[in-house]
Amino acid sequence: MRSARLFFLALLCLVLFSPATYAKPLVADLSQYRIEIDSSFTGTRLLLFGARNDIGDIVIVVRGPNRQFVVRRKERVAGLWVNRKQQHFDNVPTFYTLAASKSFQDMHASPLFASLRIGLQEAVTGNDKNDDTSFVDALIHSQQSQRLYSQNVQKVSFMGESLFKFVIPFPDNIPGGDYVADIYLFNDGQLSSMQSIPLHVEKIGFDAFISDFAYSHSVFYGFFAILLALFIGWGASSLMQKL
Amino acid sequence: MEIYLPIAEMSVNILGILALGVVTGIFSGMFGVGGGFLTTPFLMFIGIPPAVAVASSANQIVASSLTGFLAHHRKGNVDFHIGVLLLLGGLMGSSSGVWLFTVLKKIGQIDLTISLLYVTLLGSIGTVMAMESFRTLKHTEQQITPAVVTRFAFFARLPFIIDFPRSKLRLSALLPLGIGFIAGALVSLLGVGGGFFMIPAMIYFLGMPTSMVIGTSLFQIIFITANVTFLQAVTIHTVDIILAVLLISGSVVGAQIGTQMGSRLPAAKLRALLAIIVLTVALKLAYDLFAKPQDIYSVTVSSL
Repeated sequence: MRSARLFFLALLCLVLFSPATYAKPLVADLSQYRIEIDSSFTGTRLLLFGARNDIGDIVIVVRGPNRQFVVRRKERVAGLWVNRKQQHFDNVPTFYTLAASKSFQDMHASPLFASLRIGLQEAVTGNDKNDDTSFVDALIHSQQSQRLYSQNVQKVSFMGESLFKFVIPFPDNIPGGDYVADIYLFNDGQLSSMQSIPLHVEKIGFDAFISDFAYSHSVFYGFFAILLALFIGWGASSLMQKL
Repeated sequence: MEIYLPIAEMSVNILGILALGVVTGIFSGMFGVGGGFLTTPFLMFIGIPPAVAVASSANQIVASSLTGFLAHHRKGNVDFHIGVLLLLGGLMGSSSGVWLFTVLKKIGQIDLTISLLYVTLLGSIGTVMAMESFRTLKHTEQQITPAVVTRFAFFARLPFIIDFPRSKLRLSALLPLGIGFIAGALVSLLGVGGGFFMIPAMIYFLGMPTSMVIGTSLFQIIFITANVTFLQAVTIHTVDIILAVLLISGSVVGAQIGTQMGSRLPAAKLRALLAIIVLTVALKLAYDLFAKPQDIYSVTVSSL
């Protein structure tokens, strides 16, 4: 038994410290795996860092939880501006940040970009290319104006040839849920390596309590909101009378 | 100073929201309107989801209308008989309004329906009010034009005629009930606008004295907005209590100031001011409907 355990330990050391592991084409990590939202939350930044041991371009995609979106277009009908056409988008990330070590135009475009959903258009449509792009653009524009979508071309900075880092900005209005940071190494349009790092965003403390309460005990929550309003309204009135 | 709102899921400036509360409170105490016509669009402008803005401002109005009501009640300016009838109609109206909101939201024409309704209503009410109050101001008469109900025999033939001694009126109970119903439907559709409809309707349609109208309207608004708050909290979970408490803290102070300011103004001047506000809101909404929007696309998150 003892010898068997020693053997495994030796094997583990061999795997961990062998030159082969060091030569892994891509290694990356995040400064933290959890973002906590409390009442003083005004957005945050996370550091993504890593090393490439092979030539190629680094592409980083950070995605938030998926939702279904509806985009409506107003058209002029008898002088009035009315919602007419609409388009649904399923499984669209609520948060999407794209960064690369090189300008996207200069990079050898990969046929994999669409299926990996790399690029803002691709994030929304995936493999379906039939969509009227004006609706896709409107969705991207809306998310960009809320700072939830961003494309930081050439924001991945290098220290020397192999070490790289990227600061991921998260605005105050990020939705809670499971996020993922994907790091890709592309060489001449060929995917040579990739790594996925999960990230969790959640409300904590008083804010978590309130939003849980609002959803799971909505009747009590409603009563409480009204009673609180009546109490403050009455309190202010009797206070003013005394003054 | 920023604070994170757990339901709206974003952070806002505390002082900005407090100031907004004070301003709407002043309007509430002075004119007997809830003040949601200012709060809701402003909250949407700073990026708060429309449904959260509507529900949280309804919660705020519960507080500001209670303070305003208590101040008017101390002066004896509340007609509880008419108030209760307005309330019963309002509860029916606001419940059907919430149902209508869900239906219209699914169709996606909610903006249009609401705006068209509102523009027509406010535009006509505002014009009539402005004409009347300016004429009264010019001739310095204290008497306003005879109420609509006294001009048409049809209204006198309605059943359930009751005496309202406080307002010195004798009317069918169905009239205040109907006014309350429409006001209630408006509140749950827009989060705003109940007072804008009720105040002129009570003055010109029923012929109530202006001094009586504001406190009576506020009495009804307390319960209607409480009902809307409750229904929105239960059905679509959009009441942000942190946002509401911030707005409330500002508006209860504003409501006291507004009541003081209002009691120093002559009735016709008060009506003229209200007419100007009503017309401004109507014009703004009409402009939004007919002018080319800045962004012809609108994006909503429809489900998980």
